[in-house]
Amino acid sequence: MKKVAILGFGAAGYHGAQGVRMTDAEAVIDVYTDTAFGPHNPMLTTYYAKNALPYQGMFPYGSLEEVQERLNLQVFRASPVAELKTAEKAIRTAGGRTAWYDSILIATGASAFVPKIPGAGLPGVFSMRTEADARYLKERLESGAVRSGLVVGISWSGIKVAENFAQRGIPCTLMNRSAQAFSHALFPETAERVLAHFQERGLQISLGKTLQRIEQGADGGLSAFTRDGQQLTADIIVMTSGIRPNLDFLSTEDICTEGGLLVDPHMETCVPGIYAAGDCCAAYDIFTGTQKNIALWMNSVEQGRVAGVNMAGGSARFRGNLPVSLGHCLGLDFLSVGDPSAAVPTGRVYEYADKQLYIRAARNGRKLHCINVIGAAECSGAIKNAFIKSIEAPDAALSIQTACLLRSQGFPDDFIKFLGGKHLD
Amino acid sequence: MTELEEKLKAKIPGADTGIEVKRSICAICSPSHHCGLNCYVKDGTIIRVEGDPDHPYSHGKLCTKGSATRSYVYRKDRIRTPMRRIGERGEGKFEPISWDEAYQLIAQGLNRVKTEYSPHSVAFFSGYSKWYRPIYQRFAHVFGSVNFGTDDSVCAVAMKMGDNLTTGGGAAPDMAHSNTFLGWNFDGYYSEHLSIEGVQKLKARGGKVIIIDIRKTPAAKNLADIFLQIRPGTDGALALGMAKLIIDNGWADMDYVERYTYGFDQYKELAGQYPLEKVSEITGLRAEDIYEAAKVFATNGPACTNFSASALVHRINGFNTHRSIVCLMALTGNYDRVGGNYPVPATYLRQPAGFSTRDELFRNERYPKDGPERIGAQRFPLWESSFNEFQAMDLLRTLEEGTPYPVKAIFALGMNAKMFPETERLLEAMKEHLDFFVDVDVFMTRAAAYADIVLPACTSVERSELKCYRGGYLYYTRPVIEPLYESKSDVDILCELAKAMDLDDDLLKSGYEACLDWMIEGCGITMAELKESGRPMLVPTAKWPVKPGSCLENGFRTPTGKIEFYATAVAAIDPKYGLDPLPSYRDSLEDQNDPDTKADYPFYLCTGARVAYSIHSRSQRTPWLRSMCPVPTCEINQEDARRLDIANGDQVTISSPYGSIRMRAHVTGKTLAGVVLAQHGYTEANVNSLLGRDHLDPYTGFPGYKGMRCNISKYEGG
Amino acid sequence: MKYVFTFDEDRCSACGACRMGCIDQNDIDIESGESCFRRTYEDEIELKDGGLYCVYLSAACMHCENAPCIDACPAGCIKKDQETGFTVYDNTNCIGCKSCALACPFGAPVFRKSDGKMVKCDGCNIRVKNGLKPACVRACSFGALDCVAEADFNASEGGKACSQLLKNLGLQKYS
Repeated sequence: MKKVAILGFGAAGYHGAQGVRMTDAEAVIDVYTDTAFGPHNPMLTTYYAKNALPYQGMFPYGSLEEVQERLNLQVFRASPVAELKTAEKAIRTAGGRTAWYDSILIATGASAFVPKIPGAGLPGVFSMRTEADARYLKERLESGAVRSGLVVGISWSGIKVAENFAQRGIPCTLMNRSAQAFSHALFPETAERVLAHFQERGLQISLGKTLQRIEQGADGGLSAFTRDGQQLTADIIVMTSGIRPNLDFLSTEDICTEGGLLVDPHMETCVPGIYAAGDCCAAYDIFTGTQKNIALWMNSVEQGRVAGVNMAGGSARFRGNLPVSLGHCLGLDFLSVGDPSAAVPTGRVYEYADKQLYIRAARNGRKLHCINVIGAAECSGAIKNAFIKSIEAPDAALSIQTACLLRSQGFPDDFIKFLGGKHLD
Repeated sequence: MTELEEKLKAKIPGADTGIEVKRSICAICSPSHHCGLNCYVKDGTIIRVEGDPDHPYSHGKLCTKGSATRSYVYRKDRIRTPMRRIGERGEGKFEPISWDEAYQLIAQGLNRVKTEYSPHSVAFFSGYSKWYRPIYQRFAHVFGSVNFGTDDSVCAVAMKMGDNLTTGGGAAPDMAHSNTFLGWNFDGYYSEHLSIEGVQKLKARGGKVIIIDIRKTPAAKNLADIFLQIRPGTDGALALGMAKLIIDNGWADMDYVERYTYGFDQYKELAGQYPLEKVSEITGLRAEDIYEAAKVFATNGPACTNFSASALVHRINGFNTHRSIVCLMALTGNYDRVGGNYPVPATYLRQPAGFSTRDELFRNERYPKDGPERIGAQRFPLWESSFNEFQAMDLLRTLEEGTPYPVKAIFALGMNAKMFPETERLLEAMKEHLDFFVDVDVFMTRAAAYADIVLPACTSVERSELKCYRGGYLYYTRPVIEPLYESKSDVDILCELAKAMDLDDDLLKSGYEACLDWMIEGCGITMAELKESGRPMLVPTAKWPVKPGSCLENGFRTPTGKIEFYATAVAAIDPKYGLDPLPSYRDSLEDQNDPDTKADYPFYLCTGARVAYSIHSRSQRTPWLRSMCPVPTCEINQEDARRLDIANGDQVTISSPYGSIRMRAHVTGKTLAGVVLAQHGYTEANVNSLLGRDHLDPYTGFPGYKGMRCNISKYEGG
Repeated sequence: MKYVFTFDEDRCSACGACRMGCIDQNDIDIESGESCFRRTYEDEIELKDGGLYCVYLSAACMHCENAPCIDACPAGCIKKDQETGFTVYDNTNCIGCKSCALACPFGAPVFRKSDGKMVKCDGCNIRVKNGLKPACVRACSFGALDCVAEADFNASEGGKACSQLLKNLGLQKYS
């Protein structure tokens, strides 16, 4: 009988367990988690805070007990793994339990990155990742005592926190270290339009500012000081500058990491029998052809499942990461596929704007390297797919159905041509 | 969600959900169809509609329009109460009044014109639909007016006249026994959706399909073995050219010609003027394609054709074009033969069902004796002698000129002003010259806005009506919901008005069902039985299927008793009108070919070519259907568009000597260079306003909707 | 019993009847700008020989075996109906993030402004379970669109399943 361990129980851990279970009904599955909750989706925190979702909604697969029963798991709750002995495939928990396995899935996820600056630990300064973060934001906003907010880091979660303020009519400043927001996803032209939209909806934008320290005044209000001497006051400060993989328990001498645990398309690390999936791993990336850490819910789901199937003796391959994101905030959708910074001087750029749509796309010779679209979320999957196609088969044109969908949604013929034209199946 | 909640949301019929399936018919399009509906009704409201699988004609099928029934019935612009105009004509300001008051006002208004002028100065006019027309026509005549006219002035009657004058009546294709289907202007995907299955079956049997059309259609793609994309308006030349090929190559059925036709020598001489090269040049088709089509049609065994109801006769050369196609059927011996086309006599509402009723007698028996000629008679004598309605295309002139006698009142059911060429001029003339104008309609329309009294009619699902169907059926429908608001069935309005006016006709005054009892008496079934059943019933006297060969055996219902290549009825018309008894061809833009007009308006404008989701103006304002093409659109060939710097989706101006409209351009390779196809029926872009009131076929008075000159340019405004 | 939608392009004219059926069944508020779950398309392609290929299509959710929208939904709203095989959803917890749209190559999930939630074709799951055809299929007069039991479809061979496209896109089941 196979015996597997799953370290961490978010999307990757849950789907890892499910992958094992759907391949092997008998396997013993031990789950080690540092919480007492069912698998939690960090993306849902801000939705809970704005009452778009009930509390239980943050746990899309149900409570830990329900999941445990559904998948027949042995769950060690509040038992973070302190040590992984890769050679023996053994784990030791903080509580001192040691156990040996046929295979192990590392799915420990990632945590919010908080810069180590003075005042980062003050009450009212927090990040947005966990169930506790969500409850705290909601409580504070609903207390009626918050008159202003500061969000440090224009990130996918940062803008959703800011939306919480804006929708409650609470003044909020979005501060960003870089002079361009979303520089890894958006062209400067796109970012400008996105931020202009946020400003129209009442958000203050502050770019190119590095936070130096936070102080608390006598009234409990917070003051944030930037490196260039600016002072901003706010009742709460949310740190949303990104996330870092949870790999502290590992010795990097024993296992290969590079911004995350390096895995092959089967989600196996460089150590046979040890797998990794989700926000803690760096999996094969379709776009660059290298291994990259791209923390997306859907990646975690697929990676977890692939790992689980393989751990149980089945065979599955991960199709690959793709740098893709669909932001939606304050009534604006903006899609990014690829990498805007991958341009070469000989590349071509396409731009289009009308009342509903903004498109900016660029290609280097035969391959597209970035597409930004504002205002057409319903077509985002079709565009993403066209992008993948341009990488995997640069000479293949769009399918007729894709071309028709784009046309019907107001995309100009020239853009369809830019994507590669259409072809007959 | 509980299971019941799920079922309610999914509209599952049953006792638990309280959703009942009730049967009715769709009357959105032509009475040749009227498919069976299954209406899902909950608490007196229709919540879903689908085709009725038990319907003997449509077998569960519905087209795009019928599938949008709910959007049509619950349109927000339904007229809710009887109304009296309080603003200027055309302004659209009305106040609600009671039905009684409305009837009194109508009686006074009509009788005043009758007294001051004559009963014939009241024109009774009907737009769509056609189901109430026996009642309506009798009403007009009992009132005392000869002037009953309808949309038949521009619909399919030109084709029927061509049939009647050539062979004595219409003829249906015998698809089941044919080897070749000549689909002349056929696109069953867009109109007559039930016809597709027959063509699919013919193909599956190995039959050949020839499609002739001015644009690349789904039928051309999915069905055609031979597709001729013909230059618009030149079908008559093609038919004569095919006739020449058939005669010259010995493919004609000369035995048939000798026994059953009249005027072959003159016809042969006419066809002789259309050698292949000339026809190729006129039609824009390759000579070898024409030859191939003619050969397959004439030599592949029995061949049948659709007779396109309107498309070909909506040109000023339309009547003869249709006649020339009918003549091809006779030339090849395919008329009234198995696998060809054969006569199927009308039963009721001019639709065939294999038995007889007295509806035509009901319409005509009270025609005023010693009345004057009808409106348009002096301009269109062939129409006047061939059809029992006034030619509405002369209404505008009559209003303006008041000759030979003035028209001072119009009583209308569903009048669609946008049907008339130079629409605005007609509305102006009505505003200026009419003493009284009543319009009954389901929806508030452009014409209704000019009426003094407006009455709300209901739709087919809110009333009972009698229909006959192929196969020998009669069907008296039951309402599936109560009439919305204060609306009423058109026939109830007419019969109640007959009572209020105390017209001299006990039948009309005794109501619709009594009239129907009179009309169907002798067919072997009674209204009581039909009412009781609520389902289509087989009529005992019906003989179905109608068999081919009756005319070959008993003679054709023409003056000569034969199929007339040379139409004696046309020959009987005063030569001053210049009508040719032979199906001769002339240019469909003949009256617009002077050098100036040609230079200023170089494009061929064809309006109203069918699309699946549209039937005249009624669908343009039905939200679900409108969503298929939200903006008034015209099609232009991609080469023309390139030359004129028009991109797909651009706004364009279409202009004619009569005005200009703005539409969105759909740039396509499906239409030929030099041709503009425009959708009709839009208020904000009424393409019929570009059509001259005198651009008419002299044989029938039919307007050249599908053949007129225009120019098109990119709209440069904001 | 699992079901498969089939589509025969050679019988389609993009007439839109299927769309009307869908609007009718799902009470889609077209007038307010809501998108129908089923879309019909007309397009044309110039061929190398100078000819023109006219395209007529009808498309909605493909009910992929390995539906990416299910994985993509952060709130766990979408799942497979075990009986019919349709990709169904309960959008009570939908946050309108459109992740499903980003996952779908076909544009099937659409955003409904009135409640800020995503909606899509569910194959008329409850109708099918009650022995009725999906509304779009019911409305097709030309035999272009059908929904048949998977077993019958597999037995028929050569049928034109909507899911043919899916193979190319890797949306079939893990083998």
